[in-house]
Amino acid sequence: MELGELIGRRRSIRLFRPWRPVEREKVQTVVEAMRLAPRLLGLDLVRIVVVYKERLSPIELGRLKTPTTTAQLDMAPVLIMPFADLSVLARGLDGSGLKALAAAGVLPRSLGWSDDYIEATVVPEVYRALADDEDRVPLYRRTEPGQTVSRRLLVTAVTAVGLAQTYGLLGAFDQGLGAQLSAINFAAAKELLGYPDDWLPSSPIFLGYPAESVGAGGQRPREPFERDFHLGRHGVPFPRDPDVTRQLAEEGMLQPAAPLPWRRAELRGVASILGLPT
Amino acid sequence: MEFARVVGRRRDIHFYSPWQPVEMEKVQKVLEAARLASRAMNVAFFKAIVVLRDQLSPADRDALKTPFARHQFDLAPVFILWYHDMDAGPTDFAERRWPAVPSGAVYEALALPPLLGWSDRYVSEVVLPEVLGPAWSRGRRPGGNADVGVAIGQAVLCAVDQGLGTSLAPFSEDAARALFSVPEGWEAVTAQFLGYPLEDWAGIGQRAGEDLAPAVFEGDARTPFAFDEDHRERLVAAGMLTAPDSAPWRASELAYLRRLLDEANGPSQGRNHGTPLAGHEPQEGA
Repeated sequence: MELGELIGRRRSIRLFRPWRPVEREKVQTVVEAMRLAPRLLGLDLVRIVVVYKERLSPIELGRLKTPTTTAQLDMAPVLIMPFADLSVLARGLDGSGLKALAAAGVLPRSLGWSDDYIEATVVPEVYRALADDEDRVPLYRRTEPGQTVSRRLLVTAVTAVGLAQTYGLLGAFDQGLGAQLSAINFAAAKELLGYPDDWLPSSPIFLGYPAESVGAGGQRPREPFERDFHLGRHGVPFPRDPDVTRQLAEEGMLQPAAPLPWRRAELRGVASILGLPT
Repeated sequence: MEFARVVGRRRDIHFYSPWQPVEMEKVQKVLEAARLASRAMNVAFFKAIVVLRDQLSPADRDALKTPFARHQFDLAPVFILWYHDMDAGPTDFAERRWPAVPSGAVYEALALPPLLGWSDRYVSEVVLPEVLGPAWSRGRRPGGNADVGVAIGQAVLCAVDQGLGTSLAPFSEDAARALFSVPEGWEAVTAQFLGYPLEDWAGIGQRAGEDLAPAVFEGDARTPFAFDEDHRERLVAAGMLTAPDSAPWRASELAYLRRLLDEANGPSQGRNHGTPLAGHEPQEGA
């Protein structure tokens, strides 16, 4: 699908067809896309665990639920759970990863990416600075209290995971699947999946065939454009050109706002199919 | 362009055409794409300042540079400085600001289906006190937010889709705060550079120089995902998977591009992380 329309079609799908499994090759496409997301600081931070709901017992499934993630966990056949592997930084301190990227022509030596520059500047000023960073913040997603991590490393790690998540979401919708990022109980997930202590979990992608229509009742509301984007300095709104928004509407990136007139009827119909309360 | 091809063509671009401006409508589309990205509780944790290179002095550009981002500030005509707005969640919660979940807007849009238990009462009696209250009533929480990365991801793909080159690299948070009046509650995430690429994406291997140790698992965190090579061939045909290694002509391309920079006497010799072009004779890898 054309990227603009794909971005326009994406919704947080919460109603899946529980009877229809997701083909393995579609799962593979999603994780291949996630692995192609941009990396930050030359670090391969992202790890992914694919979880098949059919392999979980009802008790295990129940333990994963949170107040905002309930029935969708019963309906989505697959969860794709991303992590940031914080141990990657320690392994990169010798600069070997960056040197390999420079040797492969990814980091251009013409722009100064020599082995000397990596060893004398990048490793001490970036990697070592992160490893020794005194600006630390709590690792709130961890079960052990009191753990802290470099704030800058955490920013980098969670951003890298977010980049992979968006590639995964779009990869799902591109194949006709529905998907949503939603919370799960991380303590229960750690027990179930046995991931290392150095892996920082993030919201999984719930994956399945949507029980809702394409577009799921309209594009979700967004705050004013000018609240988010500034030009030149904070306080100067980026000028939103209505001709561009018209063009984006024609291309399908901007779509009619939710709720569409028939949305309530759709939800009643889906509820009766899925045996959910109306 | 189709999603698969956009993903397949994206590379970190370092060489931008410094003389070709980026149309503002293309910048707007990049921002619009980010704004439509998935976000928890419908809160815009991302914020951005668009900076036009030519409106900064060379000294100001130098001040923004970091070891990973040097020439980009001289070559790319536009950079978007992405931030994590640490006040977004607490403010939306405290003020019930539209259109975040606490305002009721998402529920009214029937995006949170009543059949999953979402109701005004569920939001006010469960979600706000049990989920959002504990998270957001404590104020700012530094350390980034994955949703900012989600938004940037759509911005990156949209840039590639429009024929632009783009890349992400850190910028000096302190310099930017002084130059652009950045609020205290905004935490620097990354700069996104935009410009017309001088280098050819096809020359840069998609997985060149990467550690190919298992990173995808299934069932648990110990069992590597069994990738189907036949399916990979289909992804190659679709344009998502491209040549893993850099092209044989990549070294020549870089040598030619360097001549351009040398003739310009090196666009950056700034005080911070200036690029050692003069007298530097590196062996280009490919």
